[in-house]
Amino acid sequence: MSHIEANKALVRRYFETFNAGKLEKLDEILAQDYGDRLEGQSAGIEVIRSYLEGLKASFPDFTWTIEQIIAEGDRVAVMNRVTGTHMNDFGGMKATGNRVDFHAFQIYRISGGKIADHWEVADFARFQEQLGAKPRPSAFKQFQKTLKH
Amino acid sequence: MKDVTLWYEAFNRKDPALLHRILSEKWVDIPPAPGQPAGPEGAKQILVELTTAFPDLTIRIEEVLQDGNKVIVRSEIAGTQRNAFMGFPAKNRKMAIQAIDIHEFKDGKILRTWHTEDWMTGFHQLGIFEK
Repeated sequence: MSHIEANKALVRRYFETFNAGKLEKLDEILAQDYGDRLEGQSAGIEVIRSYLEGLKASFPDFTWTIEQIIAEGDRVAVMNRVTGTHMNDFGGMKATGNRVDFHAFQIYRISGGKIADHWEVADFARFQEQLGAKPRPSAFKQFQKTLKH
Repeated sequence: MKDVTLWYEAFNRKDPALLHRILSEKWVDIPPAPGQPAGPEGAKQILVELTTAFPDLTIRIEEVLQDGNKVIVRSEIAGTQRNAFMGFPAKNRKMAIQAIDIHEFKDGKILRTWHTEDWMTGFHQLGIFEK
């Protein structure tokens, strides 16, 4: 397997691990100092673990589906669909039971067989709209704040 | 296919003619803006709307990746809102947001573009949610 194919396989495994909720397996996939460049997010594998656990707690069926996967050099880019049901409180917003379905774009940097850095742009405006919230400081930002101890 | 930079230069130079050089006549934008005309005309309309709302608009390319006939571009869109944007009046605030686009090429031109911009962050920076 070429390193490009190996990198794509690693990212696919990350998505499968999240979808299955097996977050104890993250250490096999993400670097310890995993650098998340998502707006408002900080670095470290424990930060991303608690972030993903928080998402799964609010949306137990949260699923990332890869629609396009593209790689060059040490980078892998993904366009994915995000779907899930708002079963528990999220970012100060009471559970609505609403279904969310939106797109997100990711770029990962792979180093030493693990995902080392991550940039993301997601359609949070649509996500917020599907949660049925009026335009206001987003539930997503509130959710990120709750993760900071 | 690294001619993809023409798309971004068109916005930086406010020159819709550059869009016609890089976009296929059958170009499809995914997702389109509400009421956006089909093909390159739609791109031209977006260019005019964005550069009217943000006269100092700049799109800075941060990263370009290529795989087969697809090119991915990560960029930062920045500008000061001087005129109404998506129906929201200008508060003369600055925004700087991340965007990622995937451009699919055919015969040297862009046939399809998938894209997302972090408008949620942008709306906060522009003060749209403030009373």
